[in-house]
Amino acid sequence: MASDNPKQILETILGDRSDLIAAAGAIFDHAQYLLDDDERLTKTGALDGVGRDQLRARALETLGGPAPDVEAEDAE
Amino acid sequence: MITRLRLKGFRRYVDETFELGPGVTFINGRNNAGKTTLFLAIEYALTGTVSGARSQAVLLNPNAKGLGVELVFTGRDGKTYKLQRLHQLPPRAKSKLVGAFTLKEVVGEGDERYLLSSDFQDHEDALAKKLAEITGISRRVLHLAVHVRQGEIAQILDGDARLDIALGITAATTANEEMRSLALEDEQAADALPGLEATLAHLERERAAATTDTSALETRLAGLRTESATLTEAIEHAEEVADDAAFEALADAVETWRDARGDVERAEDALEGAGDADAIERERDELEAAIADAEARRDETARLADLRSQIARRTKHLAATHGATCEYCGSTMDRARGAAELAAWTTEAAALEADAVDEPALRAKLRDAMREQAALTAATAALARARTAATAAETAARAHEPGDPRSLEEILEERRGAAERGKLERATTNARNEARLEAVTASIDEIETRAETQARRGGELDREHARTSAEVDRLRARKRRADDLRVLASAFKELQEQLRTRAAAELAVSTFAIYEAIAVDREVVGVEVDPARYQVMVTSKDTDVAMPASLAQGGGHRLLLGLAFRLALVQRLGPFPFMLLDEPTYGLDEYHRHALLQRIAGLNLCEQILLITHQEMGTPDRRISIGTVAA
Repeated sequence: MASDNPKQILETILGDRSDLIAAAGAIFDHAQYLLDDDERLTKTGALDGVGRDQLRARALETLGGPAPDVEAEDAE
Repeated sequence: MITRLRLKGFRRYVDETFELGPGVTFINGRNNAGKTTLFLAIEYALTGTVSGARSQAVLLNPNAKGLGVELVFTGRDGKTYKLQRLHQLPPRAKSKLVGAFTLKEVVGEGDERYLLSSDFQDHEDALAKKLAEITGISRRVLHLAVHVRQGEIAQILDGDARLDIALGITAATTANEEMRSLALEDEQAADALPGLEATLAHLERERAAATTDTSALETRLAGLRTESATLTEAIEHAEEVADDAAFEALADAVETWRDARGDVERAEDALEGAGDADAIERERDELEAAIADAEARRDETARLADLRSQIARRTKHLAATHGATCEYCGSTMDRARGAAELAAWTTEAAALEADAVDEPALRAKLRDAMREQAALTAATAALARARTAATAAETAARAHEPGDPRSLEEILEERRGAAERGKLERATTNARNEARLEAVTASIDEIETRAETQARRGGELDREHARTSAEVDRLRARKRRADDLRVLASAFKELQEQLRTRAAAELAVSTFAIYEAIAVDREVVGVEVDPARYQVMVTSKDTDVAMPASLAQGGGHRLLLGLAFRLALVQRLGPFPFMLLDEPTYGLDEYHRHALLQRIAGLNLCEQILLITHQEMGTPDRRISIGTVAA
């Protein structure tokens, strides 16, 4: 029987991109954590803007690389 | 698994500790005895709040100024943790409670290690994440599955939108959306990459050309500086040569010789003016002889002097008074005799004067002759010295040009001509060198200016290249990240689809299996779960049509289905270290209640189940009777 655990499923999906498994797990965990608080949910049960910003920030932090806003300033 | 639960000032508990073990622990007690409070205390410990409570103040024991719960439990990692949480009234406050928490790991007997604490400025979110990590229980999972509240068991049969969150579907969906959005941002930013890469390549070519130009300028500058140094040295050397030390030394020596020759001529002139040495010698001899003769005739001279004196006085006597007394004889002067004496004396004096010699004059002449002779001697000596000096000066002068038989004047004149010609040549060369140096200096200035301009241009190119290179690196990194984000977005999308597709079907299978395990009377022959709303649909043995479980006849039946669905959720989302079932048998008759409790105990879904019931169930060591122990 296939695993019920989302992170194990992610691991299987990302089979040939094992370098992204840890990042995917961290991003998923953070999304779960953010969604755990009703204060961060919209009326439809989706993550609100602040929560989404936090998730994006965590994703960028996890993946590394330049921050878009800083980069935009540098580009000028 | 919870091993110890301590409540202090929490609702009706003043200070109570419960030791708990694995398996099913039945919590018995009469109504309002405080059974549910234990579960609320656990919820409070894990989340800091209690669902439905406006504030922690409603949990405060009326006689207490603070409430606290201590939970000792074993996490999914097998480690033991102690979670302490309290809310208390600060000094002078009347209603607002201030909360605090501490999570420690129990590493040995009496040995604890701080993990998180509000005293150390750790935030509630950090605690929630840590607890989710070590127990698998998030706030939402606690409310949906782990803590099954009295009277709410069957409500879940109509579905719950929050199940998408608990099952990870919303997280996968959200992650998919945000990864796609981020990828799009990175891709849009990276659209500028080809242009920037072309600019970078152009800048690199320009830098290479600038480097070549700079190198050429530096080479030329080095050559000009070398030439400048050579010319400067030649000009300085020419000035030194213009002084022609050898010629000057010769000229000085000849001048010295000339002076010496002048001295000789002057000495010769002086000697010539000094007279004839023989004549002087003869004059001197004659004068000495004359003086000797004069010395021999000094008596005559004295007689002449006396006669002159006598004549003078006699003449005066004769002119004075007749009859005066003679000063020589004392007799009375006889004018006649006086005249005769005077005539005699005058004759004698004339005779003596005729032969008289002037000795002082002779001596004066002798002194002059001696001086003249001395001067002649000195002039002779001076001439000799002058000639010696002239000879030495000539020797010294000729030493500058040995072997040249010509006169020094000729030699000097010839050398002077050569020196003048050399000087002219040097002046000409020097003028050329100075003109060339001026041109070279001008070229150096010009090339230095060009080099400075080139350096500034190079610096600008370097900075522009560095900026562009950094920007290209950033955009390349963003492009790589965009690729990764696309992969992640796809993975999350697939996860979302798998979870949604599988979760409903698998929950249906688990629910039916658990239902069959706990139901005494099996009315249901099939269970389905709507993947959109998670509404539970059942097919009863009386009909072949699936219908909503919430519409199934009989409260006990709906309770069983609801409980089965919640236990299926626990099975899917777990494992959890514990589960809280509050009156799961509420509404069942005694027979079914007893049977259900027995069967739940046998399900082995969780390491620890705390179960509140009015029934006296289990062995004494698996039973907590609240009515007798609670305060």
